[in-house]
Amino acid sequence: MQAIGKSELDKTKGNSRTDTNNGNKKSSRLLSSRHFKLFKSSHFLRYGIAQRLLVFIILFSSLVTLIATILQLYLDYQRDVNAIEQQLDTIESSYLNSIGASLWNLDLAQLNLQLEGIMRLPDMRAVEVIETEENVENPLVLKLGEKGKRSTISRQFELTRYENGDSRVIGKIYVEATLKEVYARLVDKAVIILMSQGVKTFLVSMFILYVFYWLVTRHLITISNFVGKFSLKSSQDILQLNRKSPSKEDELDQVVNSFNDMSISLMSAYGELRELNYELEKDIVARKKAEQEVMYLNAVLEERVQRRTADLEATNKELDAFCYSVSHDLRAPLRRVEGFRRILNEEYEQKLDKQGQHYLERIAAGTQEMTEMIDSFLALSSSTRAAVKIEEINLSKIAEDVTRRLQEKDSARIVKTKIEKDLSVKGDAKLLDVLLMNLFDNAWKYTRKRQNARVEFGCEETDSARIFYVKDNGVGFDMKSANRLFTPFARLHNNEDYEGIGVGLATVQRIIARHGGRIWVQSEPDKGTRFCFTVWSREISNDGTQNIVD
Amino acid sequence: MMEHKILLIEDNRDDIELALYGLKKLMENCNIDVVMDGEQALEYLNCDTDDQEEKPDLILLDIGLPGISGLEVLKRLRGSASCRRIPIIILSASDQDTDIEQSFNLGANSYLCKPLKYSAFASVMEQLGIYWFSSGKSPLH
Repeated sequence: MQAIGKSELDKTKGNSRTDTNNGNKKSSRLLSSRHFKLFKSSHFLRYGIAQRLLVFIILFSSLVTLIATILQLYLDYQRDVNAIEQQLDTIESSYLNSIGASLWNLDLAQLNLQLEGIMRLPDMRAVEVIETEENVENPLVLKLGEKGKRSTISRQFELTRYENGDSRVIGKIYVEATLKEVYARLVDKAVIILMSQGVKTFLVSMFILYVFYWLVTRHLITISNFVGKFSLKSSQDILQLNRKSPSKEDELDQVVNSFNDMSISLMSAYGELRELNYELEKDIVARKKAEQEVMYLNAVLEERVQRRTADLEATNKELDAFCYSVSHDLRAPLRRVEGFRRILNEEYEQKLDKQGQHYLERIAAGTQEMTEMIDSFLALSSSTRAAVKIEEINLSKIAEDVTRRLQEKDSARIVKTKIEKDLSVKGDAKLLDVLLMNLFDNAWKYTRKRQNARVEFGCEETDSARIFYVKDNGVGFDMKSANRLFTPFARLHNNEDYEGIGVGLATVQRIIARHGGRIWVQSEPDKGTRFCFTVWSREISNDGTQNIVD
Repeated sequence: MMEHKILLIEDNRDDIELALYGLKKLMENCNIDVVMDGEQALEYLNCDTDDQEEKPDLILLDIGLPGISGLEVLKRLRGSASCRRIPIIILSASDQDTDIEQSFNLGANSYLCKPLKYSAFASVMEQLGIYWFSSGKSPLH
């Protein structure tokens, strides 16, 4: 008590300094603070371990009290009943003879006196004497008290007359004792026992509670407050209980020690963790910096790539424009050469000898060749430059038209053609015409030395795509050089046998690219060649163009 | 048979020579005047006067003219009351759709691409010629 008082006082001092000078106030303050403490602990009474403890103590002691009371009452009851029985026995032994004599003498006054004497004994309720002599009219009946119906002990004795060694029953006596008094005494006793036991139980419970509070609960509250305020971030005192430590370490000491050990190891772990965290943070900062650097470099790279791509695109466009413009400008003088050659041919043929006429023919062939070259340059250029107009196109019709034109150009040739009917795709009519023209022209060209030249156009449906093909039975080529085929100006055959400048297939590839397709070739020397292509085999971009082809 | 008058507007001398040769071959009785740029052409045609006798029956117009371009000449001719009915054939080195479309939109009667197949040139000329010959007079009069 002293200890808690002091501590409370200290607390109070801290709370209100003005009180500390006044001694009376000090003590009242001490008292009220203790009340406050108890009031505060009422919380623990209501909800805490104490409540349960109280309930258990009361229940158990009540039970014990009840059993003990019942036992004691039972014993008391037995004793009282035995006392009554003994009393009745006493009546039998001491009253019967004299009453029998009084009855024999018919001494009513004496009999009355005797019965009253019996009635005066404790707990007696009723007594009755009845004459049972034979041959007597109006037998004597004397009765004192009222017979009860319940809670009674009754006896009946015979009244005997001893005469000359003979015994003769002359009447009987009925004695009745009541247990009411006994019960009343028992009830009184029970009340007293229960009340005293109740008071005792209450006092003991309060005492136990107080002891429990003093020994355990207040320390638990201290521990709880300390643990509640415990923080790893601020270094703190160790947990100490406000009490005289018992000589031997008890459970609370164990709790406190365990907690202190734990807090120390937590502190050190936390310290380590913070150190690690700091390291990690440093690491993260470094990494973020590196990441930013990478991002910056990426952005720079991206920008550079974009700029280069844009430059390249611009250069490509310029090149295309240049190609177009050059080809275009070349046409005019060439046309003039051809024009003047024609005039020479028409007006001056007679004036030239055979050799001169031969030279004119060579001029014609040369200009023709150059015209075709320029045309194919322009086709290559426009295959990437021209705006595409996507519509439903009948490829078979274009193929037929193309073969007809080729046939007209070289009517001496006999080429067997086989064109699958009604193959239609979505695409640009002009470009697809150029595409098929180039492929058929190729087929035409490389079957030149065949006796029975055949060119086929058809379509194979697979699960994923429609594969169109142009197939010939021409000279073919070694597949090793197939990868050069679609490169502009790359040629697989010499110009002597097969004329051309090597832009036809490049044009074809660009047109296929603009139709979102793929083109590839299968060939074998002396057996023939098959060009296969697909259109829109990939996602079609919004403007219907797709520029990249494997 | 009356003589037809044709105006050739062309800046290249070789092209003029070739055109004259071809035209003479096609139509013996035609009178061909040549001017070498747009300004001269407009001056020659003198769109402000209504004197139809002086006007040509056909104009061959090169698009790629120095100074006032062929298309500009075409536009001005089609905008003038006196010249807007003269048939005009465009001669152009360009086979680009935009040029062709523009020419027709501005009122050209025909469009010939300059690395021109002589046959195509002749056939257009002949079609116009046949029309004149069958009707006995220029459609302009």
